[in-house]
Amino acid sequence: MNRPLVALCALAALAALPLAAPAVEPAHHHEHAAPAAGPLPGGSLYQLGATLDGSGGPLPLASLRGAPVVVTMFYSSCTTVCPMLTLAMQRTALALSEPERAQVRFLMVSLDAARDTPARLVEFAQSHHLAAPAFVVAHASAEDVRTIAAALGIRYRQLPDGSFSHSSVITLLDRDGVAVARTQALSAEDPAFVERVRAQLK
Amino acid sequence: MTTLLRLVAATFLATLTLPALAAPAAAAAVATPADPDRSLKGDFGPPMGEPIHATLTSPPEVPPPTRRFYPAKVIVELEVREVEKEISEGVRYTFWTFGGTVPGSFIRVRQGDTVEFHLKNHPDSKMPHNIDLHGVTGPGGGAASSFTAPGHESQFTFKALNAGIYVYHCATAPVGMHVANGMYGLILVEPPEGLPPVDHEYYVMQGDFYTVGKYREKGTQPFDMQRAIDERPTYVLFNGSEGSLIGDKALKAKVGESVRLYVGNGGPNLVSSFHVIGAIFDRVFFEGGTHFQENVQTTLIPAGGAAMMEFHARVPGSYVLVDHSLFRAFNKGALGILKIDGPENKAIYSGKEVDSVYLADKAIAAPAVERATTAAAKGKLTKDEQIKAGEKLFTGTCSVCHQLNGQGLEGVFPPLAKSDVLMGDLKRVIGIVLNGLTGPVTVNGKNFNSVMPPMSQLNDDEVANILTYVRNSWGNEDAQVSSADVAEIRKTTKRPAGAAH
Amino acid sequence: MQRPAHVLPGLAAAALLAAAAAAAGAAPASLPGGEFTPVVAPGPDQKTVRLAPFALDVTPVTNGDYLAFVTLHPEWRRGSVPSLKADSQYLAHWQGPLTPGEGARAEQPVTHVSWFAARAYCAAHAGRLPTWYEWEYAAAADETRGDARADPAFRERILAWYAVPSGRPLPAVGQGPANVYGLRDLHGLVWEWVEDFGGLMVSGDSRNQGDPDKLQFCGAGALAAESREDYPVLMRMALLSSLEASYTTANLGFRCAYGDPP
Repeated sequence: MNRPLVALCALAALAALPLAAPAVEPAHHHEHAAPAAGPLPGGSLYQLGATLDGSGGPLPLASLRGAPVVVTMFYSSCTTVCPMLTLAMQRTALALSEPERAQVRFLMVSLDAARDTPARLVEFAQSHHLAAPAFVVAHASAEDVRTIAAALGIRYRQLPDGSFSHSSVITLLDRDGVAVARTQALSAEDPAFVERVRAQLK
Repeated sequence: MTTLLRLVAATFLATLTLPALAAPAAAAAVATPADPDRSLKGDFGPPMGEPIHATLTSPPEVPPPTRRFYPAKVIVELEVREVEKEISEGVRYTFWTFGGTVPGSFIRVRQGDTVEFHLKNHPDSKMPHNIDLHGVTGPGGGAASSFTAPGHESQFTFKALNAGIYVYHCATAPVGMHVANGMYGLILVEPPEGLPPVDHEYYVMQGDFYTVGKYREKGTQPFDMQRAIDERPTYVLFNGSEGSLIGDKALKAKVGESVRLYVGNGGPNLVSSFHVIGAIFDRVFFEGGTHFQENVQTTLIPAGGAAMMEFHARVPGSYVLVDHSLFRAFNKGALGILKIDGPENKAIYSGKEVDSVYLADKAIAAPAVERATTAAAKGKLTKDEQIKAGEKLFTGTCSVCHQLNGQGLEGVFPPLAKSDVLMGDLKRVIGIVLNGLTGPVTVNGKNFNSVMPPMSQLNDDEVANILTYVRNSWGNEDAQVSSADVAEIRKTTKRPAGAAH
Repeated sequence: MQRPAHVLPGLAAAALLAAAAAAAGAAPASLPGGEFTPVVAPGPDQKTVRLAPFALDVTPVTNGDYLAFVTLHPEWRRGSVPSLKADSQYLAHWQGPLTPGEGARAEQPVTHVSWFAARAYCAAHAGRLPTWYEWEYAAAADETRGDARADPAFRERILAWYAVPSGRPLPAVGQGPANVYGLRDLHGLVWEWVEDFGGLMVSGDSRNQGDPDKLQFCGAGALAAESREDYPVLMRMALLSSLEASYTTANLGFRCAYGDPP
């Protein structure tokens, strides 16, 4: 099939998710709780018992609790939307000051459980300058990919040629793993989203 | 059509760039080069003041004018409900509605307002729904942003950049079916200066409906997809039900008052030739736009379009709203009444002044007044029982035109009360019921020229009961009519059964 | 194929599960699978999918079945499920967490359940949710044919369900006619969750069908419907694509499949 030019994909990347889910959770989630303390809120992504496999080996998803997390799902062989997604993650990171950035985790989970092995993702992270510890580029089992995507409201399907059709969205989780903001603005700056990240650090 | 199903979402970027792109087109449409950026000028900046909760009204009512001189944030909360209601007397249909009514709730905002739209899909709904407002500048008119599962709520915000009267409708697959089930309504975006005040504003919307059963076949009628695809409606209706604008529910005005109608057409298939019998519109804002035409008799309202029309009530009487594609009006239900009360104005309309015999070169045979003696075998019902049964049927089937009091509508539908035709040859009368009557007819010396559809969907007993009732009501007196009388005439009729349909 | 047994703590639990299986009726039905043409083509150049043999519950899971499940699995009782996994209407029609009550009779299909909950139920019964293609394949059959989709009368019969207003009590499961595989109530009773509902990328604005602007779908192929007249399938896809995994609705239930996931 024809692959549109990446430059043109800017538009496409925007067009990608049903907006049924509220962009922002109720207000009481905005104020972060003490890091990693107290009962886990019901809406936390960490309610999933999923396990990630990143550069540092197996990592329970819930171990990210305590830091605000900017999360997206992608796959490394994607040549269309995903480069934009990666760029948008980097741009969000760069929009923060260094001390701010140090407090945030940028999580990229691969949709391609079969082909994106942990080793391949390490390579991907290196070649794209997605450095640990800020960036976590992780493999997860097909089962965990499905539940994480479901919980984040990310729609995807694998096509016969092995590529994925998927919605492109970046979600901000608070320190407890509750989604507090989302953005689909991949081609342009989204200062509002960056501000939301910053607000989690206060 | 290649049906591509895909995931799409509205984007802010596209929304922001659209007005600029749309400007040249707008200039061409209104042909006023001096004001090419109408939609850009509709942006009066950020909303001011406290957010306002929009007042929504059910048809035929219209919310009051905004009477506002600044752009506000207006919160609209619209609930989708799937409800079973009467589409015609004794005929039930499952409508999918915005706000519980067909058409949906009327929404009124001011140009430049920022509208925060909440679409709620009732937990009892079976289907997901969304809304495309033609008054929205943005992809899908809000459709993708408002796609909502049963028991959930979606929110999106738009700025009402263009003034006008706009249709909104559901756009969930299959779109035609959602619309055919009644999912449409109107949103009025007032120009910044408001609309000139009038005495009455009313909300009317036409729609075509497709049922498995034929016209007026009793019981609960499911949607007929094939008929919808073939564009062969069973009903064409104003405000979702036969009789929604009839009798007590007729639109009302007094002599000397001004009336503004907001008339939309939901479709899904038919275009409306909207006409009010006996009235001339002073002004019609055709296609819901900015310009008006004056002195209009009939205005075309496309499916998915609307118009605004103003006129003055001058002469008392009943004015009939129709789709002037007349078989829709008289055989599929597209009828409504605007009742104007007040003193006669003989200088404008006299009523009938002269009715004399005109022979020309032919002598007209005296009308047969020989009363049919219905001494035939009595039916199983007593006369009183027949009258009672007939009254019910009459209310459902006949009273829309002939009226509950049997007086008909002057100049449109002949009276039955003390009617020489009705009380004349029974065989002819039965024939009229079974075969209908189209063209000129003289009743009690007054001329009528309209269409009565064949009522052959009624069985012999039903026709006998109706006729027994009407021939023994409002001062009429006669013997019973038996079903055997009806059967005999039906035998000789050439018209196939079900012709009303 | 028998509904697989489950290792249970104690006899009472085993009895409960057996009761649940009995309430659900017969053992799951076996479906041969094979080449199937879904209404929406799987890819730009591919019209069919290959399905391995699998088994499917004959009827949707009932309130009775689900009560047995939550009795054994307290974490899935109403009030115990985190909002990530089920919205606030989870089992809202039940009188209490362990008492379905008058509003939810044992033989009625369970509704107001989320995707997470449905998956957990099936996993507890050594099963899984069917995939969309499995479901669509199973539901293409009528009483005499494996694929009745081209028959307008079959479609009309399914569409008639939409004319029945909701909000009245659901009928008991098992009253619909059995299709050639012995499956009942795939149409005309409730919507049903599928494992990959999140892969059904139907636009919220269905009129984008046929839009030549391929850029909207950079991630690869847009989905093309083979039969624009198959409204029952398109409507079901529209419903599924309107959902998030935590959503529950009054007309949405599920049944389990058994066999290796595709």
